[in-house]
Amino acid sequence: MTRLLLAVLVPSSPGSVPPSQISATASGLVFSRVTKTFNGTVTIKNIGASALDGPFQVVLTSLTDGVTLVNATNTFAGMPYLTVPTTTSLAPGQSASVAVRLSDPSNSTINFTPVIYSGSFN
Amino acid sequence: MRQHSSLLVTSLLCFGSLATAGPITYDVTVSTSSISGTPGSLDFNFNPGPLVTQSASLQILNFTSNGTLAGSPSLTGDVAGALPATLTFDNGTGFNDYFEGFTYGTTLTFHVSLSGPALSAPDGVSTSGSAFAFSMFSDSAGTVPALTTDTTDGFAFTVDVNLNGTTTVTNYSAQTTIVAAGGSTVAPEPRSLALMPLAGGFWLLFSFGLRRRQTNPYRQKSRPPVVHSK
Repeated sequence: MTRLLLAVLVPSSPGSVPPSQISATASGLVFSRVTKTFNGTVTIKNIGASALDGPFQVVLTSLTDGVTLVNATNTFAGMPYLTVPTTTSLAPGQSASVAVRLSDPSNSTINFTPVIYSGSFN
Repeated sequence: MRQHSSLLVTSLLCFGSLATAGPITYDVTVSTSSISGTPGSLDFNFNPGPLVTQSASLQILNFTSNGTLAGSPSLTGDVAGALPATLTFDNGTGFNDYFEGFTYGTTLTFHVSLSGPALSAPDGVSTSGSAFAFSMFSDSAGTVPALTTDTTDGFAFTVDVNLNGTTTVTNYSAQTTIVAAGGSTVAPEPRSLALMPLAGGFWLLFSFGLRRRQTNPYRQKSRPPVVHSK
C-alpha cells in the first residue's frame, strides 16, 4: 500500500525499462588525441509493441575501472548516466541516440552494460 | 553552440552508408597545399565498441604523398606495419592506434579497406559496431587539428562499421575527398529508404531533386546494389 501511494505521489519517478521492450546498441569508439577521449554513440530502440514514454536515461553499469564518462548528465546510485536528448517518447520501432565521451587514461578495453530508465532522476 | 555547429557540418558532409558482401574500400585524397611545409602529424585508429563487438579488420594501403614522414611511428594495440607500407588493424583490443610525425606536402592519398565477419557476415547478435578515425595535426604532438571543421576532436573523417555490415563515412574535412572504390556498391541506409514513403510524395520529389544537385562523389557512382546473403 505504501509503495502504491508513493508511486501515485511521485508519478515521474523513473523505472528501468525491461530489455524485452527496449534494446541498446553502441557504435565503435574513436579516440581523439585532442580531447583524450573515446567517442561514440549509444542507440536505444523500442522493440516492444507499445509506445514508451521518456525522457530516457542511459545508465552505464559495470563501467570498466578507471574509465570516466566525461559527458555524464549526472550519477544515479553511483553510476554515471546520460539523458537521451530531445526524446519525449519512442514509438514501436523508433530509436534515438546519445553521444558518449569516455576518458580511459590506461587505454584499456572499455566495457559497460547500459540500463535504460524512463522518467527523470531529478 | 559548438555541438549545433558540429551537427550541422556532420549532416552536410555525412555521406551515408555503403553495403557490400566483400571488403569495402575507400580512396582518400587530401589536398594539403594550404599547410605545405608544416611539420605536423597523422593519426589512424580503429576500435571496437563498448558492448559485444564482432571481429573486423582494416588496412591502410597505397599511402602516397609528396610530404615526408618524420621520426618513428607510435603503434598501440592490434596494429602492424609502418607507412608508407601497408598498415593492418583489427578490433581485438580496445585501442588500436598508429601515430606518426609528418611534414606536409601538397597532397596525400591512401586507401582504407575494411573486411572481416562484421562486414561480410553480420551475426545479428553483436551489440556494438567498430569505428575508424583519421586525423591530421599541425603539431608533432598531435594536439592541434588541421584541415578539419571538427576543432574539438580533430577528426578529418570517421568510418563506422554498423551492426548490419554497412559502413558510414562522416567527413569533417573540406580538403578531403573520400570515394568508394573497387566497384563497391553505395546505397542509402535501409532505415532511410524505409522512412521515405512515410515522408510523403512531396519530400520524395524534393529529395530526388536535391540529390541530383549534389556533387558528392558517392552519389556520382551508379552501381547495382549488392544484397547480403547469409
